[in-house]
Amino acid sequence: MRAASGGLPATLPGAPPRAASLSVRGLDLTYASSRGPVQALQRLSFEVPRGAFVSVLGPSGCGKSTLLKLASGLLRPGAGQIELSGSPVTGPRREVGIVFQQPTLLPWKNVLENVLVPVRAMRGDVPAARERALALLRMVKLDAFARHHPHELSGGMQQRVGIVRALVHDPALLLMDEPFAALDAMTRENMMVELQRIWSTTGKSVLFITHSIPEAVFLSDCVVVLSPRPGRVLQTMEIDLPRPRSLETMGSPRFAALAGALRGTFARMEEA
Amino acid sequence: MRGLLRPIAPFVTLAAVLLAWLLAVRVFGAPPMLLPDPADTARSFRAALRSGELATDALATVASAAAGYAIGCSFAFALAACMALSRTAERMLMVPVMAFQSIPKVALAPLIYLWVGFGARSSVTLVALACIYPVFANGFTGFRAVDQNLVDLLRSAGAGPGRIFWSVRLPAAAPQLFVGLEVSVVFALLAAVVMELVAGERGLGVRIQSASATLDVATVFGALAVLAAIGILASALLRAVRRRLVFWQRDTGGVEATA
Amino acid sequence: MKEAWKTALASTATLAALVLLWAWAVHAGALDRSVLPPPQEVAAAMKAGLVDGTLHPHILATGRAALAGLAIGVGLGVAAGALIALVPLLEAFLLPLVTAVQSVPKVALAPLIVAYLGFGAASKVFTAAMLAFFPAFIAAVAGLRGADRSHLDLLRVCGASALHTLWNVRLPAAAPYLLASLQVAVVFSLIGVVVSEFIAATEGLGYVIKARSQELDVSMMFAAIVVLCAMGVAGGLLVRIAQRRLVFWVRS
Repeated sequence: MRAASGGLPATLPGAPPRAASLSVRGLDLTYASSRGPVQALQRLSFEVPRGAFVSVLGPSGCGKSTLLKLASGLLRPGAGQIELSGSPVTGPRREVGIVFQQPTLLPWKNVLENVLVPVRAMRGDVPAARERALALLRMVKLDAFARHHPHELSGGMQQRVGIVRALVHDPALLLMDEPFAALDAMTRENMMVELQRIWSTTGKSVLFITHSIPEAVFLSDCVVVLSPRPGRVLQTMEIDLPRPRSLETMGSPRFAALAGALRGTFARMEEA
Repeated sequence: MRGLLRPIAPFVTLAAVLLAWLLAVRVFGAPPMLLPDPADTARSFRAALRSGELATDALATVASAAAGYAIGCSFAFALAACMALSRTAERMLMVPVMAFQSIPKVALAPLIYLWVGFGARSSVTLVALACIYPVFANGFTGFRAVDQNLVDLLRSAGAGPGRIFWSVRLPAAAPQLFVGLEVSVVFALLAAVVMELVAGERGLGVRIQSASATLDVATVFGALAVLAAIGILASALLRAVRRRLVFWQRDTGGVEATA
Repeated sequence: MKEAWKTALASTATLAALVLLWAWAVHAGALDRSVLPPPQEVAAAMKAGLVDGTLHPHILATGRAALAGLAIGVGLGVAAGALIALVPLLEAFLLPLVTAVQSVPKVALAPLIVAYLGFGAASKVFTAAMLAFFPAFIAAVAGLRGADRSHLDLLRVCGASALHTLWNVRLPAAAPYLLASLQVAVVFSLIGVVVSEFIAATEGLGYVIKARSQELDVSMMFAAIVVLCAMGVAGGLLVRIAQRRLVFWVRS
């Protein structure tokens, strides 16, 4: 196990061209609060290669969600650069799909209409998107619920719809902000496996924010550990577990070693 | 820069309205019947203030509103406490109270005038009636929502119902009660004005009524301004009282629509 | 279910007791007939008014004016709220003033409105609209502003226009608040019409109440008041039904 720094190739073999790379360099963000300026991120730098699954792991309040807003163009950094496949991110980008912590489905629309929300917002081709949406829903086994409303679905089902919604406009980069945090433990495990399946089928690049070490190790090619506020990169760890990974993999000694190393980093964080 | 702009923005709007008013009268020639000259309005306002007429009227309105408010709110408080604490009382009285609530109180003005008679008494009566529901509804909810654990704690310590009421139930219900009290303040003024419009002998409502009949718009504006000031001051006063008495609660920040 | 029966029984007992007290008081002469007529007379007046139709034109006059005032007031309120949602800068300029105006009894303007617009329906509708505007406006601003941050972020990332966001996210998010404010607006618009009719009108339930008071015809006054109650309650019921159908996703 090496604490590598970006030891992955720039493009993973077999990645379709519609996956983007994300490059974050020297990111600084300070925001104003009632108690004065707060620095959320400090000289943050890391990479998400094309088609890779990268997790950002950190304690609460380390600026993980802020990072997501920066990557999606919803916020502008105070200093530093963010580039999507080489072009700088200066505002909201259509090549990005976001999955939030709460499913945030529009309660007044049914599942299918919810999935199509990004398409309508972008004034895209709705009939074609509808076909795509139904195919994606079939992929997550929710096609039977296409006409149901969110309040008729469980938390896990709603979150699956949220993921499908993020994929409907075929984004090159998927940003996921602790998407399983609001789910119970059993559902979370199933969703992890499900997400891995979706990712390997669609081949998108993923930036996955989490505070769960097992989740990060299970899902990622590479884990970036963030320090408490102001968030800086403490460690970048390659996860060299073979794919596809299953729940049994979580019991393997290699998994335990990787998770243990990350836990050690966290422990040192607490002492500091 | 945004921080500086925010507090002065409403005054900018007021200034703009004043400017528009001036322009409408001086430049676009709005008929004085419709829109009096701001200078004339200011002049007659000052005269009315100096002569003490406005003060007498304002006092009359405020007096009946305040008296009715005190009576109505006290009654509503007692009713809310009673019905919240006694299931029997609640069962017996809830439907009549709801029926009472469905009556638009202003509609009762002529009836009350008929029954109670000329003078401040009918104003006070209508105001009292109008103040009942908001205080009752909020008080009832407030008393009902008291944490039973706290009550049980005191009861097991041997406290009697009176003590429990004053040290637990009342403070717990206080925030909600105050919401009702604040809403009722505006209803009180409203009811006082309506009663005066229907059959008053003195008060701001009467002044507005008589001035409107003669299209003395300047006087109407003056009386309205005083009424507005009273309303704003009364609400602000009650908010300040709430902040002192119920100091542990943060401002609700919600705005209640009023008539 | 047992609780509901107990309440129904207890309330009916109370109401029955009140009516009996009423009948006895009049019969025993404790109250003058001109002050409070016996229940039978009131019932007769209600029959004359409702079944025989003496009150019908007045009901129509008040009802139509209230409805028109409601529609205009709420319509303008929502439009103004939408404007503030689209141009957030306006909020700082307008909202504090509207909040201040909340403490002012706007019905005080009714005499002036009658002076300007005359004895007819116009002044009633104007007064009603003026009163119905405020609850709708405040609810619109709060509701449109209060849309879920994540929904707004999602649409922003997709590059949606402000109008698209308004129509697809803000307005539906505001719907629960707006419908709740509609309950209030219904009552206010009725109040506006009635007060306007008190001041000067030739028809309408408020006019009836005022005119009959001069004839000491308390029975007819009661009848008119009861009809007003019914209108208010009916309006409230309709809004609640609309709430359940339109805002089906809110469990309350």
